[in-house]
Amino acid sequence: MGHLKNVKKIIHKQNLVKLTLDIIIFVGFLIAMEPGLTGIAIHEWLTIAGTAAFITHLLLNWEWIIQITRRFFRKASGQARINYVLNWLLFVDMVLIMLSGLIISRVVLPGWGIHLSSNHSWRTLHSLTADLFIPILGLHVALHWRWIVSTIKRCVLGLSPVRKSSRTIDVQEMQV
Amino acid sequence: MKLLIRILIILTAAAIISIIAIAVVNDNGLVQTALASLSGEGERLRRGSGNQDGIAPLFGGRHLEERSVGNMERYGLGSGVSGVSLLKNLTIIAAIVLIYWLAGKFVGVIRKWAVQKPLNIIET
Repeated sequence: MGHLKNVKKIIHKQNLVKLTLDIIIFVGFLIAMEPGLTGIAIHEWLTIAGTAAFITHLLLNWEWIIQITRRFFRKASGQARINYVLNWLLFVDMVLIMLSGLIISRVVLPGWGIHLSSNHSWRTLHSLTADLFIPILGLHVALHWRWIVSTIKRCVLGLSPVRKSSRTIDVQEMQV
Repeated sequence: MKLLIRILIILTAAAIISIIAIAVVNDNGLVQTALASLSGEGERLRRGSGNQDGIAPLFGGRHLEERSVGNMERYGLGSGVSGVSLLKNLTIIAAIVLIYWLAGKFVGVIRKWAVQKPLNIIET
């Protein structure tokens, strides 16, 4: 019984860390998506810092990634599969945003004395992938809405979870 | 060690995507034309007019960069214009979440009804 309590405590703590990091990433990216508001320097530095947070987000959810990668063609639920494909899309989009952003960088790379020859295609790619990022992020948040709400209820508000067997499986599968 | 390997896997995946993107965007004229079209510069690119130096500056991005810097100065900090876009992004995300949530509720109601109806028929 005591062991179970400890495990629950660890999961509780992990979820709280995940939720806090996710909120920071979400707010950070919303601000970073607005270079007109922050100026180019903050836009570039914030995105680079965001990448580190994004990698941490992936590391925190590593077990889920491995689980679904193994089960993708066998036992994974439809929603978990959709979520997995969407996460890959988000990852590819994120990499393209970062890459094109670095190539057209005006502050970070020139600040280090690196001058890359960019053409207009990179600027367009940067805009397109950034525009695409918003709806994909929206879907990502939507697919995790149940997890977000239940984590806020349990970890922030201290409410006990509603026991629904099918939902419990969904929430476990829906991490990342 | 485990953590380092995981980070390396993530960075390797990112590097592979980057190499493919660089190869495609830099070496493929078709992709460049498509991207230019998507940004609304396609017509200018096809005609090759509008620039004194032909289409070269378009790929060099000089004119557009100048225009972009102009926009940045115009819609800079405190202009109030940028906040609208931030709100717009947040609204799009909120709308997607709301639609998904409502769709989930709708499917739930339909499912419940589909299960309940045969049970009612059996009872009567």
